[in-house]
Amino acid sequence: MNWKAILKIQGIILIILAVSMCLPLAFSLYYASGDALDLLMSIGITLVVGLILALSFNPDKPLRTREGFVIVSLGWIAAAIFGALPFFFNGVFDGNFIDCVFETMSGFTTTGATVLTNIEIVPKGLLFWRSLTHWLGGMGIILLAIIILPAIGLSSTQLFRAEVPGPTKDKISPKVKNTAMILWLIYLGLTVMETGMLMLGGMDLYTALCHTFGTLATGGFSTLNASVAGFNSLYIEMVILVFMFLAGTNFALHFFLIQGRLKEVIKNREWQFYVSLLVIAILLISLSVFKSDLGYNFWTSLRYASFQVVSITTTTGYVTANFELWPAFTKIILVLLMFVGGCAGSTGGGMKQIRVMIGGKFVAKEIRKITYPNALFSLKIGKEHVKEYVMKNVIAFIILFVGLFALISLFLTFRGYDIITSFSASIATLSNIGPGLARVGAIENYAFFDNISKVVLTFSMLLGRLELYSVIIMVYYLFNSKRIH
Amino acid sequence: MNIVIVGGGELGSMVADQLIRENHSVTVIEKSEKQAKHLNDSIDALIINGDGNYVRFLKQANVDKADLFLALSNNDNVNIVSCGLVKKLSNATTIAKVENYSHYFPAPPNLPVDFGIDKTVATKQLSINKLVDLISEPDAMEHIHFIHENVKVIGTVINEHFSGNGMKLKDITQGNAIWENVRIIAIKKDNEVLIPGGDDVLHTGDKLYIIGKSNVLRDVIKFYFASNVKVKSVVIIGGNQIGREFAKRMVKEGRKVTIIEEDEKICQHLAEELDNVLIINGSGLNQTVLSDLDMENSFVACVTGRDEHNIISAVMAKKNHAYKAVCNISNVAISSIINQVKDIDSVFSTESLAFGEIIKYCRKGDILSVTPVPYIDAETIKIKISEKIALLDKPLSKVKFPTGMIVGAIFRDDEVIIPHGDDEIKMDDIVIVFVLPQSKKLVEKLFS
Repeated sequence: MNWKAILKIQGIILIILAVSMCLPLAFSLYYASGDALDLLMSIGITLVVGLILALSFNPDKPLRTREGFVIVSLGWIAAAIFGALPFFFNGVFDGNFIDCVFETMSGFTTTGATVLTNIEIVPKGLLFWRSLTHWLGGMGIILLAIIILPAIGLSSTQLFRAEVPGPTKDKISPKVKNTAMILWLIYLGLTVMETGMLMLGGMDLYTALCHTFGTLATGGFSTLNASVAGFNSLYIEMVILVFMFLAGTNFALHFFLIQGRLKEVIKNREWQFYVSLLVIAILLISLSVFKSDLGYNFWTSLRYASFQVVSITTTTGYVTANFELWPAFTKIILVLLMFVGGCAGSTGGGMKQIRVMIGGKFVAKEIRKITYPNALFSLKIGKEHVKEYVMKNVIAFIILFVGLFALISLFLTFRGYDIITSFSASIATLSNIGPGLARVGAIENYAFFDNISKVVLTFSMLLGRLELYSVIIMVYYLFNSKRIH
Repeated sequence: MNIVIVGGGELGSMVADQLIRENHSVTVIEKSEKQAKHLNDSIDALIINGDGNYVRFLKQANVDKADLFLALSNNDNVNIVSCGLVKKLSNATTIAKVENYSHYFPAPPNLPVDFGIDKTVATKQLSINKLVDLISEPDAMEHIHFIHENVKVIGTVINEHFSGNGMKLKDITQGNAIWENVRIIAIKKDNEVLIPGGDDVLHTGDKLYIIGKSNVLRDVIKFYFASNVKVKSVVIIGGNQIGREFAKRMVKEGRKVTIIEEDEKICQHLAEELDNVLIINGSGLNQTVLSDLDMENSFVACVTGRDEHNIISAVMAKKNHAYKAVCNISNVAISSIINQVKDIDSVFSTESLAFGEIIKYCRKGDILSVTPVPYIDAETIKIKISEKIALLDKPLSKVKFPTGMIVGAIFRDDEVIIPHGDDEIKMDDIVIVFVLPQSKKLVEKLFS
């Protein structure tokens, strides 16, 4: 194992983290919210550890594929631990470090599950840091590190593959570094646009930024206890809805759009699937809500349904209505959408639209094969043939995803939680959504879980964000290092 | 630069790797799905799985935005056609690797068709030229050419007749007019390579790498390292195109040529095509075949196209008293292992020759070329001085150079300087530096 390279990159990640903590510090000082010292101490510790690691190790060997996975997974864990320091020093969780890490990991993995029972009493600097973790994690901390990595003479290809997996490789530019830069620029552009539009709707810069971070990273942290419902403004809901939709789209498509390749965007099969899935789900849910005895008129049903469907599908997790009270049929649709998630190459989580498409087509192909045993069928997405190894990888991913979902649910029921809570907490963390059903429902939180369950759920969020393999490979290599060369 | 490469095999990936390291944007079109996947996981380039002569894949590779197009697949037809297509799609400079050059580009009176290729790299021709180089001076077994044809590095082994055996380097070279005009840039003792200082002692069996003008080097070889052996006969093991063309050249030079070839049909062809060449139908691994030949004072070239075959027949030829045995290797990675085999005098790989040739055309920056030195793990780097750097206009003896490097030659205008302590590096010079791998980074820093 190339420990020198691994530790050096951890150092760089921590330096990036320390630098980004300065932004909440600025807000903390501006609002005099009283948490500046906690932030300052965290910055100091993170920076010192980061500098020590980055300066004292000089890798002499190039990275191998497996080390890429270890670096990425460890990097995220390190970010969650050091990112938790401000919460720990401030004592918002009564000094429970597991809670702090849970909250930070939930931020970085853009889950948006919170263990805070009252968000509004948390100091503004910390609250801003909480939202900023979303923004950093959304496009990827490693992807940010990649932009500066070649400068220290390490190849970033392995890292890119480990943090941005997925069956399609829409590399925008031949060089990983340029690809990372373009993606971050698009992300930054969208951030500026949404913040501006939210401010037009009457928000101040602070609130607008926090919600933009939550939206574009498909995170879901709000600064209000009531989430987006607290604004009670159709305009703000619509802005957030549109940007959630954009964040759930493959970012390569945004790049095509900027280049004026509109046709390619519209013809993209995954995008078509994504849009049609949203439209169908919105129609079904709004009709179901309209017909139920909740007393909404059609337009209100449509308004709540469309926001909730987009929020859940893109794995954001903002809420404008307590869907806990909606008919069971709508809740099942929402849970199923949780499994699907956003498009590949988006900031959304879940299994990803393209994998569901390939999985579905694979099943159809197998059924046709049984009917015509000698026929040869090719699995196509649009006009592109899906290669055998891609298909196998997707099937394995789906099996692993469902398997982990079952395992985590099993564990939660073992700890004594009820079925619906366990199932929905499991998928809500694995797909990086946040709110689930029952005790983790739309207006609830994760504070009631015991510490061991919180650790498992934290791990589940990380698994989901890095699309399973990276984390599993890391665990495998770290604990089997004797048997591996 | 945006560079598109067709073919990601041994040569293609080697070139891609080097270009990426020099910070170019590289796209590779590779036909084999397995190789494409492998490349995708290992190098920082856009990999497209497809045929290089399909417009569809060329467009997918954004060939219209490319500055340089390299067709390096193993199929000549694909390489030539793709260059033609690219010329229609973009303004990129096209370079094609063409193995069977004479098939497409006949000799002058029959003018070749314009295929839209700016530069062809004829790989077989490169190998044949290499062989001709080696046989022309059999006591100097490596030749690396630089800007001027008349400056090169040669490698030669010290034999027991060498007058300076057991002497310190400075005692041999000082005040000697011939030695003043060349420079020993490396000494290989057993498997250790060192950059020499004045106090190093030379022994029989050491291999010296010397840079200088060709005519001076010839004198050095003649006076100090020649073994009075006249190479009369040439034995070529393997009768494919390289062997055949090389045989023709050797016959023209009036040498006695023998070709050993396993395949009976090819032997028949060779016998029909070549005059004054002894064709033997048999294997180069067969002791009886070899002992039937009079190998004394002969030059043996092993070019069967199979690496293992070449290596073993070269060793066997030496056991049968061949004077020199050289072999062609296609797997570049194993050439450093063959390094350990003392009996083989020189190894060359068609891929590395083509690599050097191609890289020369891709260069824009100050590092003009990097040529690996055969047999040892070291490189010669050619650098053009175009910025003000710290070591300019200082006597070289005053500059603090890192260990593991040596300035071999300085080109100024049309003049060549083999530098001594009081020489200086000036603006616009082209400097040839010899480096051991561990010092490469320091050297790059020194010159940028």
